[in-house]
Amino acid sequence: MSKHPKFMVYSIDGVPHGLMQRMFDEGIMPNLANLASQTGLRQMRSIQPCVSCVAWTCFMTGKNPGKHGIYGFIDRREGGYDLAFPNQSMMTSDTLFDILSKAGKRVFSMNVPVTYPPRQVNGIQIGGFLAPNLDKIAYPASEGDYLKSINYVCDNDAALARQDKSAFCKDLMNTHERRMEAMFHYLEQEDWDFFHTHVMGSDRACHFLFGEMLDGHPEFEPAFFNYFRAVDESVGKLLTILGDDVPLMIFSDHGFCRIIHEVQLSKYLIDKGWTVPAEQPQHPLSIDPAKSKAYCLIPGRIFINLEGREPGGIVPLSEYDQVRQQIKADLLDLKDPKGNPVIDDVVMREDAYWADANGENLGTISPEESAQSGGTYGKAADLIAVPHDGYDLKLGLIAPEIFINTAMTGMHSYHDAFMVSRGVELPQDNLEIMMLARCILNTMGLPVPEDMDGEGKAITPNFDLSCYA
Amino acid sequence: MDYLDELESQSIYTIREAYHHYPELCLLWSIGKDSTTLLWLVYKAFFGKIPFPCMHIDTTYKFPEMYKFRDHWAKEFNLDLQVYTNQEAIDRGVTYDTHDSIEVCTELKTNALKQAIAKYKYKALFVGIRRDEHGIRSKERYFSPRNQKFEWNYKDQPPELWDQYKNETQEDDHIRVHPLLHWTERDIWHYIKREDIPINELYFAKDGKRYRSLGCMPITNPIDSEADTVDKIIDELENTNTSERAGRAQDKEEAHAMQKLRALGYM
Amino acid sequence: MEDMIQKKEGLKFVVVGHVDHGKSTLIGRLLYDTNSLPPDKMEEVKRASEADGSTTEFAFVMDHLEEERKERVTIDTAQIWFRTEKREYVIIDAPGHKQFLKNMITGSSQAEAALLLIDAQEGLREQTHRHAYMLSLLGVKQVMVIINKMDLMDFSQERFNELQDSILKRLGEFGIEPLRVIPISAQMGDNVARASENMSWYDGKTLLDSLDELQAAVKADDGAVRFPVQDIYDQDGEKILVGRMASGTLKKGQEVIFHPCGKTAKIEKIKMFGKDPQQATAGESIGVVLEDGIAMKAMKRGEVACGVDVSPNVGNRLVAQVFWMSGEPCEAGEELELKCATAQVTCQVKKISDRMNSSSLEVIEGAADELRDTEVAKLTLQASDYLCTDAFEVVEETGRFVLMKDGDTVAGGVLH
Repeated sequence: MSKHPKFMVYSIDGVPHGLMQRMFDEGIMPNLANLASQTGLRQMRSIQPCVSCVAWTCFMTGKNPGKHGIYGFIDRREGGYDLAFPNQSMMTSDTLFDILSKAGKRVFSMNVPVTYPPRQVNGIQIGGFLAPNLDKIAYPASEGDYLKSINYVCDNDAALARQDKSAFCKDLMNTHERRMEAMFHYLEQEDWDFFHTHVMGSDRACHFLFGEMLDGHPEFEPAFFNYFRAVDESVGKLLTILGDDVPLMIFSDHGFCRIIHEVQLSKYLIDKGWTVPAEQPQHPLSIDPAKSKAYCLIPGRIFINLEGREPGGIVPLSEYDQVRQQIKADLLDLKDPKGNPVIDDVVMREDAYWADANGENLGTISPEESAQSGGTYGKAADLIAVPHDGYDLKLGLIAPEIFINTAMTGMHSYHDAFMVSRGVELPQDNLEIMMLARCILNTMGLPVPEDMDGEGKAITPNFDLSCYA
Repeated sequence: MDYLDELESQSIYTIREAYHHYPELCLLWSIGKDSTTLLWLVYKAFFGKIPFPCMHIDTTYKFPEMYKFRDHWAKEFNLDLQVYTNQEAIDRGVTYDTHDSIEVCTELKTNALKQAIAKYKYKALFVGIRRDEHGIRSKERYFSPRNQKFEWNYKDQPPELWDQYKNETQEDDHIRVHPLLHWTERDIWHYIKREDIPINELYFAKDGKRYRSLGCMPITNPIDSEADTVDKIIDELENTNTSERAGRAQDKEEAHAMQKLRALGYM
Repeated sequence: MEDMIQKKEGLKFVVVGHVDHGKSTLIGRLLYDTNSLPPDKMEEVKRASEADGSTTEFAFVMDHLEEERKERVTIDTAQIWFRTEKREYVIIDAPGHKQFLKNMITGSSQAEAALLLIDAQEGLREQTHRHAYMLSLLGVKQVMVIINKMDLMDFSQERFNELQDSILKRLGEFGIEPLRVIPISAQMGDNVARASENMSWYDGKTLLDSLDELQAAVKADDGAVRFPVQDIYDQDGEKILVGRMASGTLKKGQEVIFHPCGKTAKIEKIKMFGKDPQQATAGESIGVVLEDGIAMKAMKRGEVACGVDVSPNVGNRLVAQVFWMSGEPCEAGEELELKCATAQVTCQVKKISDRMNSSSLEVIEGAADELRDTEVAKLTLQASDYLCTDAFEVVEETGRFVLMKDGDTVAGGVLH
């Protein structure tokens, strides 16, 4: 009998629950549909801010961002107004892969976002899409040689999508094929205790082809679904290898919806007088600190330029919450050219991240205390703007307009990730990506670390739950 | 021989090797301290003359002081100066005001150079880069081939030992020659001082600020400094811990991340 | 001022050894212990080690640095800088994988000294042997052996002695006498910057103190006079032979013989821009004007001006120890370009003998048809033209050559 892992995770980035249902109905993903007909297809919530690096870190650590410190793809570098690019080395928590390694389990992970630089695990870790090259992508590094030998592609070329969407579609297929070749190679190597493969192309496909898919574009609708047919084919092959009993999770980290407008939020903050750009902006954080009361990072993460905290901070602590409330009001006031509201809700940092494992203790810390906290909590945005579906929050420090449209036609949505699982006990209600780690450890019979979140009710109760109504 | 003599001697050897093997060559003169030092070494290698053209890729965004310096010293050194601008991109409206800086650099620097090489049919270019300057550069060889697309296969480079350099190129390829590869920023300043090499005034502090490297105006920021003489600059370097290109460049891995994130719309 | 310049003088050394024997950890440790890390990284490393309550993972320092390159610290790339009180050091990267041998050779060929790293637990391995041998072929004279990971062997003196004996024996076969054999733990810092309390039985110097003892390479200005002609410039009616002194001291008015052409000439002028030197020594790039016109007619690149006292070897048949560095094997009978100093000739591989595995030094074949990547053999080469050479021990520059194929270096050779 062929080798197979004792626990399998196959994640497909960004596929919305609704789209998955449609693909089941239309016979595009027959293998996964067949599995789901036995186990059910569930809807799952992501995390705020709703981007893959945050969601996957929440998955891997089972913790809310306050504890793991990853809030987006870009941070402000300490000591100035320069950019920093968070990666696994700046993540302070152990991940599932580390926890399992320490418990003596043999683990394999491939392409999970924020696993670059790879950590030393008891097994193999192949980093995700910000890895600069194959020489450095893997622990042990020598696996890079194998990956090179099969022409493994870490990530497909999103820049291509902005120039030539047909070429981009081909690139999607090739990237997927290369990754699946690697996956089946590693599956054969040993009876892994835990095996996680992540598919990223689905997110890229949705970013650049979601609108085309919805509109039935003559070339790109079929290309979009062909890609998912290929994914399903891999799932079919995988299910054959796994047999009927191996605990298994197939899921996404967030959903997608059509972009109505990309929103240049920094431009709006400039118009409202909160942010003043530097004389010659070079990057999204090139602000004039002496004149800016607030600044913005993607997506919808607004920071107060606080005296004593930011190197050139000008807002005294005594005005911290007052300024936040004013900005919140301005944000809720933002309307698109047709007069539709853009921002659904604005959540304060202390309400988003200061929860304990039971989702309680929210509101027990004062705004000023939270503003001054250090460590991973301190990196949180002071305000998190949660947009209505369709309004993709960008930065645009030098943008001439607030509302623009580009080659991107899809954006992340918070409330409709999907989940298909077998042999794993998941919470009955309000499923949220942060809850999965402890379920995996439970299934594998391992103790759950005390500081892990995700038990009981949802961790981010202040976000809209209407989708479950 | 002291250590500056050794550096100089090695560079002159490399310069003469390149000139012997690739007569169709030019010196890429960015007007900055490194390529001006290189110019000086070439001047010495050929006993007070420069037997090939010097090319300035003009993005049109350089500091006025740089243009002034260029024209003055081109005359003093009796240079065969070629100035090249990617006019097509400028006509198309590529500016720092409307495009992001990476795009502008690609158009006005990289593509301009490509066009210039195609136009003048150069087989080799002298470039004043140093190993200590930037992560990826420490992998460079003295003679480093580039194909027509400017691609550089740094992972699989032939060995380079005992000062024996590559002396053949494929059709359409060209060779980048790096005579300053083994110098450090400090070496450059010590040598500038010893040789009294002309250096742009922008490097010297004025009102508490000076430039540590010179690029396009919109993307080059001065650093805080009181160093208004070469000696003070050397002093400053002995006690500094920030990168020469701080404020304008990221390391290659960050650059990679930025490129990815930009394509995905995160920047 | 002069003192300051002297202080800035850098010593280049290479760290070689088998993969995973702790090169990254050692380099990380050296940077850390010499305060060569940027302050924020220093802080981060300290914090990280306090947080997990264990020792700092120094190999990890390297990964961090890769992300954020600061002044003078370029990691996992070719060169890394650090400073001690005494001077500045450049560590040249030399990858431990077999497939990167050509990079190891490129790096080592620029080094003035080498640290050969051995894992105390694993002992001597394939690349330990190969790198040791390559150091001897490349003529790297200052070698220190570092026995790392002593902590994993309970700091056992017995284990150290055992390894010391076997490596000294091995190196002895190549004619290398290491300056020191030092037991260290790069991970814990024992005997790197501070003397180890765990190894009180070791009474030698720490690694850093030993580094400070190394000599910067000095060009032999009292050796045989060799001035390989690099080019001839015609300037203002004057013919100038340019080139770099390979060895010895050349004086104005001196009589020299050019080889291989055999013509004698007197040095009328030595030229360096802005100077009027009376003599030139090894390493200097100069111009030379000859007194009489006869030799000038035979002059071309590749001729070597030699002192009359020590004659070079002149011939068109060479026998040399050659190390092959290309995936495409060398075949008996094939033609290659040979470059020795400034001379370049076409040569045919007449014979391949004593084909050896460069790690085990086991002779694979006495007489062979081909020579493969990383292997070493004695090659007999028939050159298309006469060449002026020396034994490597007499003049390094004219005692070694490279072989090229399609313009790329594929092998190095040493003449004995």
